Amino acid sequence: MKRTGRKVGTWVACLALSLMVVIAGCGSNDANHGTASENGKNQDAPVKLTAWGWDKAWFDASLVEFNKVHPNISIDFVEVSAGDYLKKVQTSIASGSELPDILWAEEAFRGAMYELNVLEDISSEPYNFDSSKLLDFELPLLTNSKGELVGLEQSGSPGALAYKRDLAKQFFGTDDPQELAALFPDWNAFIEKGKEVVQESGGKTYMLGSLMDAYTILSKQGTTAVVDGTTVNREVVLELFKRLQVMRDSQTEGKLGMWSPTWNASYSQDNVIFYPAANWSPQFVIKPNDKSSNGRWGLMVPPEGGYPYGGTTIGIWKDSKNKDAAWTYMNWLLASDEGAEANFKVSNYILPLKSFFEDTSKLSSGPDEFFGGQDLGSFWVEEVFPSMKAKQVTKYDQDIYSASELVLETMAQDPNFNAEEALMRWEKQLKKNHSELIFK
Amino acid sequence: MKASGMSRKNKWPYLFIAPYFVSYAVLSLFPIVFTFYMSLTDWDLYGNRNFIGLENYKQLFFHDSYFWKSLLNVFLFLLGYLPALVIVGMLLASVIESKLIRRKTFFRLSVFSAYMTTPVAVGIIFALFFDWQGGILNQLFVEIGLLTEKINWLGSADSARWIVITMVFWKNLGYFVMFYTAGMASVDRSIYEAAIIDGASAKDVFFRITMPLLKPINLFLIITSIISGLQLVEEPMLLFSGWASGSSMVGGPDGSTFTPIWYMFDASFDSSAFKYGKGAAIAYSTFLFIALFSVISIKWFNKEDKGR
Repeated sequence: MKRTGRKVGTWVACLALSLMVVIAGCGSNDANHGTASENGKNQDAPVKLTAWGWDKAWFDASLVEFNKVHPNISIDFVEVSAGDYLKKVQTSIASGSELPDILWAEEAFRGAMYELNVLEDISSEPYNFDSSKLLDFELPLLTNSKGELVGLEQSGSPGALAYKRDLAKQFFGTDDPQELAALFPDWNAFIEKGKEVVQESGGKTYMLGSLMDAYTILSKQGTTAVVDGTTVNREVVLELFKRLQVMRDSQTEGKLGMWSPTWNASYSQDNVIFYPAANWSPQFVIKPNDKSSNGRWGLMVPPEGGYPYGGTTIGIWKDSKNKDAAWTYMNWLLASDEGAEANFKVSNYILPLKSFFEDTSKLSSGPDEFFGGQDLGSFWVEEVFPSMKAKQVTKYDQDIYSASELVLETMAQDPNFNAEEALMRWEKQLKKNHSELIFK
Repeated sequence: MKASGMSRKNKWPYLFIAPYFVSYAVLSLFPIVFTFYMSLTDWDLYGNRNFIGLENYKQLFFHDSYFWKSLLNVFLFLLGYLPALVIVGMLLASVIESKLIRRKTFFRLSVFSAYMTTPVAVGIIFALFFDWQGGILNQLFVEIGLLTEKINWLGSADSARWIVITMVFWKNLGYFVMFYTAGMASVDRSIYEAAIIDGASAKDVFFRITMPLLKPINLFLIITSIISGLQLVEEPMLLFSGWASGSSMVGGPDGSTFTPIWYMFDASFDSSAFKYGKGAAIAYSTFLFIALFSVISIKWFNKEDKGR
């Protein structure tokens, strides 16, 4: 009996030991954070923060500026691509691992990130950030469904239309951005002109590359959100699809597939005139895709005004042990005029702060030869920002985009596929993983 | 008297193998059991984690057209490529193993090389090949005058399914050929020689000797193909991830290439729903179908065997 008990004891000890070995490997190390936390309470003591993000060039350059003022705060930057970011965050949450002190959220998934309950509300204690300091259109982009302000923009992301000057002159008689904007006060005028372009070019030149190009602008203009709570506004979506159907039928778009190699190649060709463009597009999209041109490009306000295109929210992890230091970083870099100037200096990023917009002359970036001498800084600040509006972001945004991509692919290729059918298929696609949605 | 349990003498072997079993229990058995528990909850990342019994399964089996469509898709794929793999694989192996071919290793390796390609690369290669505007196939057909207007091969449900079938067939043909050539090489040559002396034609030798002797290999290949077919995910997912077209299409046009595992990934990780409970239920339901069809295949083969 005694012997059997000893055997069982040995077994249990073996199992426990092995389990400890296995589980120890999965655990997280809290010791470092404990030290950092204590240090965080002392304003001048060195604090080490962690941030996950993708724009390393901006991060490193802006951190240098920040450290000139706050040398005691260092930040470990872990590069995570925007495409993988949400998956990394969600697996960390599901496994109970720690998140970084500073979290980023890109346009495509920020709505979902806001609802994960991992970000601090910076409009409440102890931060008390005054949201009226931000340009008005920014609030819906930075608040969650509870109305909490969960982050600040890395840069305002104004959306406009990029165009090829030579083609504009050929088809519209002018390449001046203001004259072009006056020529296209609304999308109907744009579509009508598009018919002429197709006719004149013998079907070789189109106004836009794809239906998704049009969707990128049209879906972001205005202020009526597609989803309010769990109610989907069918009317808004149907109107959007009807407009896109008209564009398809009038051959306003060239069926290239946005972001495809053929679409990228079209930047240096003559088959497409206009492209959606944000303030990051010249550096990351237009110039890399049309390296050999000079003075061929222009930027103009799109029909019916500017729109938010892209953008990254930066916030504080709600369980961070270094919230004070994280807020010091964010508050200086993203919420102060000093930080805004540093931001503009290192990357030409424009923070959407009202105070920063009081004197727009300092935001001039000078004539850009690639853009025919256009002053892009002044263009964004004086022409696009004032006309911008934004819709409330929601956790459904990413799936709304995917469902739209799917139906617009069909719409582009099938001339009999109409807006009503697109809406039905879009609804079905959205309901697949969101049975809670009510379509009205 | 037979010693039971762990004695002083035999405890060491148990101790040495314990880490493996404990690791298995922690890293495999526990996740399997825990996934089943998850499938009985409405767990998502937005704070829900309630026990809801079989609700996820009810939703899947009685109200979810996407789940049934994903299953239908994988069966259509299997119907398309499995008979072709068996027939073409056997014929190709016969040719490689025949006297007509001298450099057998070269041909075996050539056919097998597609199988060594990673699914991600296969998906991207096919996406670039069949893309609507920039695809090699359309460019070629337009250049040689076979087409006046480019066809969106990946844009319609039927052609998208055929492309997935072709892709899996192309990738797995080498795997089938390798098994068949190994099987054929292991058959005693004297059986073939005796048959030829008795006047059997090449056709008779193939159908009456080669095929029956390859039956265990066929059983293995068919069952493992059904299992891997139901688990198909990377190839169609990469095909529609937007590498060539720019736009990703979850499930392909009209859900025509959606597979159960893709659906599981979509529900749990890829969309912003983060429905782990639903994803776990899809995983377990797929497992049930895999088990069911594996058992049916084994029974069917054994029944045929007894019939003879």
